[in-house]
Amino acid sequence: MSVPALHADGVSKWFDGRRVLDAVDIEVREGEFFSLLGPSGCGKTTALRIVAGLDAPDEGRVSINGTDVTRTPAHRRPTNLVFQQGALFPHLSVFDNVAFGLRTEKTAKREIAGRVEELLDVVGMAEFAGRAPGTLSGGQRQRVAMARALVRRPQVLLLDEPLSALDLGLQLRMRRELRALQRRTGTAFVCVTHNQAEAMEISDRIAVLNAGRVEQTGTARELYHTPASRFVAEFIGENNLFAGATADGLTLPADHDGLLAVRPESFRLAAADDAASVGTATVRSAGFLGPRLRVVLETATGREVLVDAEAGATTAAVGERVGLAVAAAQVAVVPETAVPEAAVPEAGLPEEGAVREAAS
Amino acid sequence: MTSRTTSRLTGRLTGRPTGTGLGAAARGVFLTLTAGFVLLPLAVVVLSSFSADEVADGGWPNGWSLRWFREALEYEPFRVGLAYSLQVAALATAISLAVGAAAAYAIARYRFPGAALLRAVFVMPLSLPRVVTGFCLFVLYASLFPTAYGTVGGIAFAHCLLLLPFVVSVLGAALAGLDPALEEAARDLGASPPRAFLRITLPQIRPALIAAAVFAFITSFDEVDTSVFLMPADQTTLPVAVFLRLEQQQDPTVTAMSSLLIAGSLLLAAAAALAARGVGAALVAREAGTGEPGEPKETRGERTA
Repeated sequence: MSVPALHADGVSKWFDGRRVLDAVDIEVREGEFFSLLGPSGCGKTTALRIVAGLDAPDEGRVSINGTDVTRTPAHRRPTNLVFQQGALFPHLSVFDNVAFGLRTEKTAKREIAGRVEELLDVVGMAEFAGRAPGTLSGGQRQRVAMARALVRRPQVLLLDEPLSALDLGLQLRMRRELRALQRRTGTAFVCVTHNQAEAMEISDRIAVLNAGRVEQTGTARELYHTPASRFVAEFIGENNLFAGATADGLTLPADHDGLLAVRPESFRLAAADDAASVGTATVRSAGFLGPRLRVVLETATGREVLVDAEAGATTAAVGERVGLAVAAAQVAVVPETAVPEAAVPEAGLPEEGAVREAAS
Repeated sequence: MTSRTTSRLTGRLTGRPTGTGLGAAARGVFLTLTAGFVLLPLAVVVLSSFSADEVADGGWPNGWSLRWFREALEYEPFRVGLAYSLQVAALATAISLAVGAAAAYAIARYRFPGAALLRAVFVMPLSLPRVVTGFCLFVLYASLFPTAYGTVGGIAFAHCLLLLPFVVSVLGAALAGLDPALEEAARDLGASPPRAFLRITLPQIRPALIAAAVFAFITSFDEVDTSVFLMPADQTTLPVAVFLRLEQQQDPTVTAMSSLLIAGSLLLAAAAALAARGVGAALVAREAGTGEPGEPKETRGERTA
């Protein structure tokens, strides 16, 4: 196996007697887009700052391309950081902001001009070179911040919530730009975010952090289909969690008595007396979401179950009793861990209010 | 002369189209009175320094003359005192800015036990009457550091105690308004911590730094209460020399000297205002180097102003 671009090995950090990072292990491969995903307060930004050298770990080591940099100060590390709000120098022009990192390493003037212009071109900001940061929009500032960090050709580029300050439409467009930028430079990107949709869309792999621990590392697909903990099962997408195979009036096709998870789209609505169904439930609401119909059901024990059905083929009347069917392969076994439930997932039900309204 | 100056001043201040009628009139009267209150004593001093009279009594001069300026410039204690005061003020300003900037930076940026206490300590000298400070330092110098008595260093040190509270609070306020992420960004981009401070933080607190320097210099230059304890009567700083001469004679030599000091202060303040704009822009332009397309001079001027 090749040397990882970034390796955080057992990194722990305390602030005021509180452990914010607990033996965090992260391995980022060369040329990979890697995301650190977690709710606010999970320690993801602290982890990033430790990699950048702006904070020192209390335990553990950080190495970049095989070189231990745990004791290397920030200004001598081969990493660069894109700050959350950009942190552009307000008294310098866009050009000088981007050139700053080259002037600190005594690059020849002509080369500076060439590299700065090249990077400004890459992020589409070439015509703004003479502008002051205060005159730019949020998206433009973030593009300049990326150019400023990339111009030094870091071995690992670190991004701290790079899109969170932008409005939603711009965020969606910048996600694609960010991904394209990473492909184009071939640099390993490590991106901190609390937005699971963003992480899933742009990352090769994701580490899910909760309460200072890495809950699971894997591709978006792995996290979605085989969550390694209850937290991941709830934080990534939506899930119906069941305490066991026979719980809440259902009999799920699984020979496991621990925590089970079924995605809303894995359930199928059937007739109440369908032999294949795993139980029955009453329709509480049904909302049209375009391609899908979001059906909220209630089992005999009062447990709420979310089902996403194909909108064209399904009719579900409020109050109707229906059967629920699910294939054995679609029932995920979730390992129970002793991790405390420190944080509530920020990704709530999409358009829940709208669904309820449509159903009534 | 005075009334014309004040009316022009208030005219400019109230010239904005904000109020009408009674409110505007009341504001005009108030501002005129305030400006008069501030400027009248200065006017009396300046007026009497051009007087041909033998005594500076504050009244309208019976004749005009420049002889008091010549007297003032030829009076030995003033000549010696001027050089002395300039040295003391320069040294005290330099030390209090260096120490004050470091202290303000530490208090603003680092969390450490006793930071709040330290902030209080730096403001404490303000609550001590200056004559008490002077007497205490006199006792200190007399008993422990006799060589500091009557020297530029000894007096500058005393002045630093008076200047630090102001310097620390002005620079502290400026630093508190800065985003700490900026300096971190500079370090992340390869600047060592001192370089990050010089290139990123310093340019942004430059106006506060200049204001603190001007105030510190003028305060030290004008200081009498503390200084008078720390120097022998035959060799004193300029304001102490003025004080001592006033005890002997009340001729307009003193007001002539004061007029010169007023002019000097105005020049200093004007230079500082220019520096806050001009030097800042010049440094930014130098930082920009040659490779930069476009010259957004106006934006820069605004930012540094």
